[in-house]
Amino acid sequence: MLLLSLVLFLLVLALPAVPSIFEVRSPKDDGRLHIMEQYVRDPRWFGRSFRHKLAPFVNEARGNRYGRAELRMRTDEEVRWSPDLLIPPLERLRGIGVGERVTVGNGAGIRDAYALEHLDVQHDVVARTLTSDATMHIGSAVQILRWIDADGDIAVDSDSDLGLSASGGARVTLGERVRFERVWGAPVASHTSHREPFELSTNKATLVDAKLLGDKQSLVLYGPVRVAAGTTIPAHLKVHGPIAIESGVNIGGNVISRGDVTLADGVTIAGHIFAEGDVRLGPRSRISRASVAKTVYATGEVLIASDVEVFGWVVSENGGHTL
Amino acid sequence: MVVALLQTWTWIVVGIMMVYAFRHWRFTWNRISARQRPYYQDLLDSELPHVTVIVPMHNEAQVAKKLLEALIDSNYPRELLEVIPVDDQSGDATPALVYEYSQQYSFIRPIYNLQGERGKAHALNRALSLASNEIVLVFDADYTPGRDLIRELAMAFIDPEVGAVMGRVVPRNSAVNLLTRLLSLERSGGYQVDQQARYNLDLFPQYGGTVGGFRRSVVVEMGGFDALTLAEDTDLTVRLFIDGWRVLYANRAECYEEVPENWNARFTQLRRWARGHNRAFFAHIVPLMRSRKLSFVQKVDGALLLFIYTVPPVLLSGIAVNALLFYMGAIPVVPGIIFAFFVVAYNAFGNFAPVFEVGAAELLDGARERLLLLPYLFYLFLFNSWAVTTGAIDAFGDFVKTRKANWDKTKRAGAANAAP
Repeated sequence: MLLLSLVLFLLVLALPAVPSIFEVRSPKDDGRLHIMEQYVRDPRWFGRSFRHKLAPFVNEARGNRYGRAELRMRTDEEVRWSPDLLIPPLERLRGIGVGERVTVGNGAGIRDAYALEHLDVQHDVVARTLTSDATMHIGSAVQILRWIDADGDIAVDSDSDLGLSASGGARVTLGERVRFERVWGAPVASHTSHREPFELSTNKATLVDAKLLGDKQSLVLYGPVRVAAGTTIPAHLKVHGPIAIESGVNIGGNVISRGDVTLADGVTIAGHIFAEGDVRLGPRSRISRASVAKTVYATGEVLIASDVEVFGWVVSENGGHTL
Repeated sequence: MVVALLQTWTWIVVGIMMVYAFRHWRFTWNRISARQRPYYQDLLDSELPHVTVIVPMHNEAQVAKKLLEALIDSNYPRELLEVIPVDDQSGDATPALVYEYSQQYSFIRPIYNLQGERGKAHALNRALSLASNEIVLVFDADYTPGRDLIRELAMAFIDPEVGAVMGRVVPRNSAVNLLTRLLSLERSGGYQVDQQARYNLDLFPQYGGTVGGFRRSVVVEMGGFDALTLAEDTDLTVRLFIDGWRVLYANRAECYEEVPENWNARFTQLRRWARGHNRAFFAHIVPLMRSRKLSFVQKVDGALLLFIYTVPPVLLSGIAVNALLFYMGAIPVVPGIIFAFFVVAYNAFGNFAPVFEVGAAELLDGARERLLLLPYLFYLFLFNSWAVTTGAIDAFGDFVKTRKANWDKTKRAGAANAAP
């Protein structure tokens, strides 16, 4: 009996190791963890990749007087080509529309629209992707399911949703209540009727002014911080808490916050804004400058008032919108 | 009297193991349920800083080519990049290899340490004296940085509070044998959960000496790397925190490395780490606890980090004392809730990352069948305890006799040159 008990005890003890033995003898999951070693962050990757895929088709279609060419994609797609392509209002094209100039009519739906010149998307359109080698206009209440990309300017009217990524090689102008996750432009600008400065919280905040700053270039502070109107911080401001920046402040470096960042009005920041919370960009705020790309990043929302300019990338992990 | 002392020691050991168990539970819970603190890799910047990459090399001809090719293939603007391979008295083809690359690429500027002192700290100090740039990244020669990795690591320094940054290390040769598979599990637990949780909680993420970087001026001002240490990474981490700097952890800045493929090489590596780490413990524990630039919680976490390579000998002594008490008929009988303490302490068994932490990390990494190997970590733990105890004894000897330790380099298997 004692021997049997001992054997049973050892068996129970060894039980957890039995599946391990099988996995060691004939491994099913012994590969190294995958690292995307070739991955390079590129805000315009979607557009570049799409153009690259369509380049042979476009070249063939342009050289063919009937405008016919074949496009091989992973899935079967209807492909429509015309130098002046019009997707009529309310029509649904379950494929790709390509043309020198493309117009998507009111209320139409399209998977992918690609214009070699101007792309005009009228109101209430639903599209998966939009691409233009020149300029793009997006009407009001347009819904993008994935991304848009244009080499030239992009103008977006009110109440549109730009999907996961919007990128432009030049100016991207957002109208009122435009929703986005990631926008890249030179600059990303807003043109809305919201011209009132954001209200700033005054709760127990440390006031940063010329006196506190002294001859320091950068500041690292704890708790809520409020930067007094007209203050100039030569380099960086990092705060382990929320930051409220009054009107007319000028910051020569980056603004990093473990909470929210709120810019009242007419604030100029030369570097990045990085917030572990929301970012509110008040009217006439300016982030970075022409030909220099920086980033506004928020783990929460990014809210943008009127006449804001961000040269570079706006990333909002929790979705952002203009006011 | 003797029995009372032995019983007290048992309780002290159980107490220490409980502290570590709770610490790792907290890390695991934070990693799987709390909001994760972002790193700066999503920031794009057209004004990137000048960066110097230092690669200490001693007999690295087997692996160095792949690393240099990876650095050449990096998307970091070449005009902003300087690569300093430091040939540290190699006896193989390493000097010829780096010379050949330096002739082809002007941004590769090797240093040849032909005689005198050698070791990683020496190599880094020599390279620092010649580095042109403020931001310095370090890679060991068996690492292959991805195309965007230099940018991702360099972005840490947009933060004026950051003294150093550490990326994530992923074994390339995990499929070779049981040891490499277990080390792969251990690495996942250590980085995916432990380091990220310490970063989330604003505690004490560790600069690991490779796939990381620091501000040159800060390190130079602190007197460079301690040439006597075998753990220049831990040493730097603690000195930075004591001086009020922060170390960031970038979980998505991943890089392949080669882990030891035989038990002897692993033993040597662990023994060296334990020796260096314990030296850092002796040197920095008092200044750490006295620092006015750290919160109480940061000091506690820093102390626990410094003590981690002392835990195995302490635990082994606890087990030995228990066995002795058993044969003396004086083992403490612990009913009820006290028994739960032992269970909690038992949870700290495992490796430097305990079993539940490794399991959580593997789930986060999307692993499946490899989770079945978790029971084997117990055996690795016994092996680790042996190696670390040996290193801890070495460190104690170094401390008492004020002797200098020699750098005993981990032997490469050459997996970096294997096809991807």
